[in-house]
Parts: sequence; structure tokens; C-alpha cells
Amino acid sequence: MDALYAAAPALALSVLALALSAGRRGPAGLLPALSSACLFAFAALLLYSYSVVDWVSLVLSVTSFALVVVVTLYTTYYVEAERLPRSLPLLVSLFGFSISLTYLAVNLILFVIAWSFMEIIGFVLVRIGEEYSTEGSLRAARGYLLTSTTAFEITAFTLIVLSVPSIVSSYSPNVLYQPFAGATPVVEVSSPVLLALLLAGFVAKAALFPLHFWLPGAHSTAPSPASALLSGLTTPLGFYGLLRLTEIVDLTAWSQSLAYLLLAMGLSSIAYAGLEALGQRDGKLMLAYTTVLTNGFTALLFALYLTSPTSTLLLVAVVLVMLMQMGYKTVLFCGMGLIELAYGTRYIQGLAGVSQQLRTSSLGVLIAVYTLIGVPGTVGFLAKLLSMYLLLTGVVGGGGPPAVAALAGAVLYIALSAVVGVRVLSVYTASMRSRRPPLEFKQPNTPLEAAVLVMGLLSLAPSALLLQGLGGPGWLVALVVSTLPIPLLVSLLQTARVVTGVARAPV
Amino acid sequence: MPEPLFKALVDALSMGLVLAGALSVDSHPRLSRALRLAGFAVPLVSLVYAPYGLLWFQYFFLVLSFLVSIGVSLHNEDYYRIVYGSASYPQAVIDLSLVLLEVAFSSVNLIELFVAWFTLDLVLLLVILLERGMENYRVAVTYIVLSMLPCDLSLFTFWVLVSGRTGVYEAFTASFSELAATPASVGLLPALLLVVGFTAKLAQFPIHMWLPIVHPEAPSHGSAILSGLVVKLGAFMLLMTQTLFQYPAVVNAVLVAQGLVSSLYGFLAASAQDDLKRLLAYSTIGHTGVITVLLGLRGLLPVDTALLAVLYVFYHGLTKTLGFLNAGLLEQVAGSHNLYDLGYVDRVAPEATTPAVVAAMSLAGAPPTLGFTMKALTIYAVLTVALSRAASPEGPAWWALVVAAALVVSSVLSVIYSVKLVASYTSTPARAGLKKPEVGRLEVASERFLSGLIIASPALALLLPSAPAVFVLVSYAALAPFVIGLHLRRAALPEEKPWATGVEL
Repeated sequence: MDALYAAAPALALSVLALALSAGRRGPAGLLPALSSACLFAFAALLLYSYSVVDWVSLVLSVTSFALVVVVTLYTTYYVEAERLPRSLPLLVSLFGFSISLTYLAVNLILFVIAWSFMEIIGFVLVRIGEEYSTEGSLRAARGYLLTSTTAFEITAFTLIVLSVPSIVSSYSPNVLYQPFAGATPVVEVSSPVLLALLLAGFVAKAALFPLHFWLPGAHSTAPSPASALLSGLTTPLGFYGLLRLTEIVDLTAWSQSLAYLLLAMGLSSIAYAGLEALGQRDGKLMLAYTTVLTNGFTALLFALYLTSPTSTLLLVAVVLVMLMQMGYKTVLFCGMGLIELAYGTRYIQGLAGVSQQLRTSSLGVLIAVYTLIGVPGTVGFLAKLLSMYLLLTGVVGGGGPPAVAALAGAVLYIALSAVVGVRVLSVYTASMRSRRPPLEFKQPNTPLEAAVLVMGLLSLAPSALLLQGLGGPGWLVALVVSTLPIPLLVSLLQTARVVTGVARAPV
Repeated sequence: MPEPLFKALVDALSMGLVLAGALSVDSHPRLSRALRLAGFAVPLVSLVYAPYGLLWFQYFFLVLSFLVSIGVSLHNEDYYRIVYGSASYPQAVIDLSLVLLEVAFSSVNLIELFVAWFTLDLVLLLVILLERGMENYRVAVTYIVLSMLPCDLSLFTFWVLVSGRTGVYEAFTASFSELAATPASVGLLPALLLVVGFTAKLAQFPIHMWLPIVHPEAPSHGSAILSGLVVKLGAFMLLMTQTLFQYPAVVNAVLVAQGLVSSLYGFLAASAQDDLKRLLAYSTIGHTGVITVLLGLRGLLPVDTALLAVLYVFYHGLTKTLGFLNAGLLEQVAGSHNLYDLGYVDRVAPEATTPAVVAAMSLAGAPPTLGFTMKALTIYAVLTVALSRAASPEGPAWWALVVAAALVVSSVLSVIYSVKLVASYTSTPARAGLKKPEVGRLEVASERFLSGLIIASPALALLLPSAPAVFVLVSYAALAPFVIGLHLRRAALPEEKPWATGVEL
């Protein structure tokens, strides 16, 4: 607990510095932002080194906070260009901080507080998007509040109420304060209704199939940087919450049925959201459905994890998919924001050759697309590699119909995500034989583009860190590091100037 | 130096040289060519010093990809320079995919294969999107869903099966030659999982439809790579599977059935096409069908069918690359690849005719090309089995008779579409007023290089110990009439006399 008292001031200073940097241009914004990131990383490492939090919290919170800092800088310039309210950068920074704090939360009480705080700011952000956006839904904020926020509050209170017997019997509120790391499951669930209430909040946050309907509206309506955080950082929080739930609540009696439930929800999310994503012309809506798609995949892996909770490899796979979602979704939403700025539309149907005009940011976006497709050197590659391995081991090892269903879902996911990736790729790729007249183009600010590039580069980092931290074989880390240039080089190649022309007419 | 490190350095060196060469193609063309050639040669030359050995078939695939790389890379340079005025971006993408194929074919362990393979998938997507960009989105999707995905599934299964013997991480670094020393036996389900993806890559019957969609729409040089080498990755992995694992015999029967259906269907469909590139695509399905049949017949014929299949891969790789490169040249010269719009190309670009004739003859299996030797050997090998037991009480081997009959029918069909191919050059009588378009020097050189290889290499068949040498002899003997015929034809061409209103000018 001593570490917590040391980390608290660092975290407080960190949020202060981040708030200071919000809305300031140039070095006045950059320096506090950097120091804020350093302070947060210090606090997280401190908590980790004293074993107050585990590696899952460390990796997720630090990665998410690095992205939050860059998104805050991006918002500062984005607000100017889009004429959004001046308060937006501050709101975004606080929103981001509360997300990272939720990942870092050491015990149940902090977790619930940080999460509730995040829900409220999230609602405000969607509300702002609803007021200012011309294309978004008019009921997005209501949907967000009624589904995501309410479901979480129900879950949180159920959890607290359920822990009352334990508090009463031990005469101390220990359940609420005991650190997640090394926690023993003390809360018991007796009825399926309570179980459903416990799950609702997390499932709604991860937007799995029956509770997915609020997400596409809310995420596509919010201003692009807010969408980036909502989609990239908060939806993996649903699975993070589930993970913590399994540590506090004794679910052994339910784990098999819970796994089947998640499997079913994951499969239907993948099929439904993948097809929806492919049918969209609105780029942000497409990305929002892709979020549901990826979360469906995470659900498949999580279902496997529930059936064998001792497997570290499975947990690593789940975390890798979450990291993948964090990385590519943040970049793609910010990139879509740039497209909206530059071309005045977010309908990607008629768009092509963006990499020739938004060259700096395209580098970052292309890295994110490669992450989604799963090119070697990206987190996406490792995530797919590991998950396919685990799923196939299940099938070959005689896992029966559930294993086959999970494998089929994963294959479907890989196909659909690659197709969505190519959809974005074809918007960015230049064609040598262009037949369409070019759209009207307005060059956005350079820092905006640079921010997207930095996010793209950041999204490459976590895999090496994760493997190094877990003590995988040295050559595996070497491999990850040595394949890093592949996505970089290919995206550099793509953003190089391409000579376009019309092929010679027939003789 | 440890093996994987040496190999990684070789790969990095060859990729670096090729990329540097490709990117400087506009500014320093000569230097660029030297760099690219050196880059393509590095994996081959390094074998001399390498502390490791490859599996026997990897050498053939490596040499094939080296030769094809030279041809495609040189052809590509002049094509884009003439049509678009600049070649560096397409050159980089095309050459990168070529060098990645060399890496994949010469990989010593699973991790190298995985990295090369998945990167190659991405680069091939860029190749498909190269010329038309957004318009080829649907083609790229077809490629992902029907070719990449089944193959990924099989590759991962491959990893899982290897890791059953070595451990999760060690499976990546265990060298193929060590694993091949003690083949592991696998059950029916994993074996089918393995085969489904690799036969999809080979465009075999149930999952063949991606090929005729992707090949005609991709840029010609991309199709040359796809058809000449990428499809062969399927054969490569099937051989790898057969070398590393022992699976139930019924899987081989599945392979033979798939191959026969594909080969009949592919050749039949090819002879019904009016689009040159689509015709070539269907012909690829037919020829890969034969390869699959040979792989499935492993151990049943007097001839080593695995080696025969590898030689067939070599033959088809060279021939189909030449065919697609020639189709690219045709597109550049005539602006179309619809066979019924053409027919006059010999008049405007006589340089392109000879390679086209060689490619067509090789596809049809006419001497003096490698195609003749391969086709003759294949049918001979199957017929020997079919007839060997004819006099014995249990009668001839019916399955072999069926296979032989199917192969003969396919070979007749392949003659039909080859005639169609040649007709696009010479079927229309002289037409006046045709401008002579620009044909690149390098394009001609590259096509002559590949044609020369096709004519020179029937001797490869001598590698098969129990095969009769007569097919090789016939092939070389036909060389003289072939050359004389070409020469006479060229000499007999009447001079073009433009005329108007019946009065000769």
C-alpha cells in the first residue's frame, strides 16, 4: 500500500500536467504533455514493481496513456480546424486520463470510481459530437447514456451489493480495498440473474452482439479524437473488467456456461458487425462496426481463457488483441478525422489516392491498416499468430464442436478484418491509372498529421515490450524487433510519389 | 555463425539490394539493373557458403524463382517506363514480391517462411491495387478471402503440428531438414486442414475461382508473378507437408480427384475464353491440376512423381510467366487483351511473336519446348502403370487408366487454346495504316531469355532416373525444323504496301 501513497501524487501531477497541455499550441502544450506521460509511466512502474498491480494493468495503462497524450495534442489542433468548442481538448484529456486510470486501478473502489467518471465525460463528448456533427445520429448520446453507462452502473452496484455479505462476515470492507494483483475470489454468485447483472456492464461496454446497438451511433457521432478514445481505449475496458470480475467473483461454477455465452456472442458479433462494416460508405461508421468485429474476436479468446484460466499464453493473446485494438483504432479514427478536414466529407466511397496528399499522416494510418490486416512486425500479426495457434491446438487436440466454432469465428474474423483493411488501404493507395476527377482538397495543419504519424509509430511498440516483460525466448523479441521495419518500409513506399497517367490508347 | 542468423543476413542483403535497385530505376537504370540482378542472385550464391542445406525440392523452386525474377523485373522496367514514363514505384512493389518469394522458397525454418509469406501477402495486395487502385478493391477482397485465408489456416495448422513435436516456440526455429529426418504421422482432420489451404493456393477445384478473377484484373507483371510463382507456393507447401508428415492415404486420393477435375475443367474453360489473360488464368488451373495429380500419385508410379511434379512446376512457372509477360506487351502494343480484337499484332510488333509462339507451343506440349517433354513424361508414367498389369489376371489398373485418359483429354484441350493464343498474333491478314508502337529493348530481351530457357531445358528430364531419354532427344531434334520454320516464315512475309481506292501507291 505504501507504493500507492507514492504513486498517488505522481498521478495527480500527471493529470494536472495533461490538463495544462490541453488546448495549448506548440512547446507550451508539448512539454506538459510529455512530462505528464513520464509521471504516469513512473507511477505505473512503481505500482508494478511493488506488485500492487499486475503486468496486464501495466501494459494496458501505459500503452493507453501514451496514446491519450498524443490524442490530446491532436485535439488541440483539431478543435481549431473544425471550430469545435474550446473545452474539447480538456474534456478529451480528462476522459483519456480516466480510462488509463481505470486500467491502472489497484482495487475495486478505484476501478468503479474511475470508470464512472469516464462514463460521464464520455457522455458529454458524444453530446458535443451530436450538436456539432452534420452526419451523425441524433440519438447517439441517449443511446450511450442508457446502454453503456446505465449497464455499467448496474453492474458496479450489483458487485458492491454482492460483496456486502463478505464485508459483514469479516467485519471489514476488505473486499473493496484488496488489490487486484493476487486477489482471492470472495464474492459468490447464486443465481443466473445476478450473473447477468454482473456481466451486463462489461458486455455492453465491449458492445458484443445483443448489446452492440448503441456503439456505431455513439462512436461515429463523437468528434474524431473522442471517437478514437471511445473506440480504441474504452471498448477493451469491457474485457479488462471481465478479467477483474473473474478475480473477485468466484465463477468456477459458471465458467463453462459463461464461455459458451461469450462464444455465441463473439461469433454473432463477428458475423453481424463484419458484414455491416463492409456495407458502410461512412468511414467512421465503418470503423465503429470494425470495433464490434474486433471485440467479437476478443470474446472468442476470452471464452477460451475462461475454460482454462491458468494458461498464460491465452491471457497474453487476449491482451495482445486488446493492444491491437487500442493501436489501430485510435490511429484510424484520427486519420478519418483528417480526411474529414481535408476533403470536407467522411464518405470514403469516392475517395482514392489519399496517401499522395496527406503524406505524413498516411504513414501512420498505413501502419495501423497493416496492424489490422496482420502484417509481420505489427501487434496484429502477433495477436493473430498466437490466437490461431491456440485455437488450432484446441481443434487438433480434440476440443470438439466449441473449439471448431471458435476456430471458424477466428477465420471469419481474419477474413473480414483483412477485407476492411483493404477497404481502407484502397482509399489510401494511389492508382497509376486514375479516372476520377480529384476532390477539392484543403491541407490540414502539419502538427495534426504529425500526431497521427506518432500514434501509428506508437502502435508498433507494445508487442516488443510485452514479450520482453513476459520473458519469452530472446529470439522471439529479436524477431519482433527485426520485423518492425517491414510495416514502416512498406508504408514509406506507399506514400512515395507515384506517377499517374493514362495508359496509351489502342492502336 | 549460427544458421538462422546467416540466413537472416542473406535475406536482408538480398532485399536491400533489390529495393535499392528498384527505387533508383528511373535515375540510374544501369546501376539499378546490376543491383537488382545481384539481389536476386544473393540467395542462390549464398548456398555455396551456407552452413545449412535445403530440402531437395527447394533448390528447384529457388532456381525457378531466380530465373522468373530476372525475366519479370527487366520486363517490368521497360513496360512502366514506356506506358507511364516512370517505373520506380511499380518496380519496387513487383521486385519486392519477387525477392520475398525467393526468401519463402529458400526458407530454412518456419519463422522465416511465416514472415516471408505474410509480408508477401501484403505486397501482393499492393500489386493488385497497383494500376487501378480503388477499382481493384473487389479483386483484392477475392484474393484475400479465397486464396490468402485458406492458406493462412493451413500454415497455422502446419505450425501447430510441428509444435506438437518440438514445443510452441521451438517449432519456429527447428530447421526443416531436421524435421524431415523423422516424418511425424498426423490424423485425417489435421491432414485435410493442411491440404485445403495449399490446394486453394494451387487453385484446385472447390476453391479455384479466385484465380480467373484475380489474374485478368491484376497488372500483367503481377499476374506473371501470381501464376508463375505464387500459385507454386501451394505445390511447395504440399511437398513440404509430404516430406515432414505422414498422413492417411485417403488424402492423396483426394488430391488426385481434385487435380483431375481441375485439370479437365481448367483446360476446357481456357479454350472457351475470348480474353487472353483469362485464358491464361484458366490454363493455370489446368496445369496446376496436373501438378496436384502428380503429387497425389506419390509412390504409386515407377517414376519418382514428386520430382516429376517439381519439374512440371519448373516448366509451368517459366511458361506461364512468359505468357503473362507477353500479354502485358500485347496490352502495351495493342491496348487490349481481347483475342477477337487482335490478330494483327505480328504486323506491328513482330518482336513479340516468337516468344508468344514458344509460350503457346510449350503450353500445348509441342516439341522442341520443355512442355512436350513434361507432358510426354507425365502421360508415359501413368500409362506404364495402367498397362503393366494388363496381361495379369486382375486386369489393368483402372484408376491409372482413368487418370491417363483424363490427362490425354486435357492435353488435347490445351492444344485448342494454344492455337487461339497464336491466332491473336497472326490470324488477321495485313491491315494498312497501322502505326508501329514502341516496344522496349528490355521487354524483348526478357521474353527471349525466358523462351530460350524453355527451349534449352528439356534436358532436365534426364534427372528422372527411370524415365526414357527419348522424349528429350525428340525435343532437341525438333529444334532444327522449328528454327527453320520461324526463319522461313519471317522471310516469306510480304512487304506491307499501303493502298487506297484500288490504286497501289
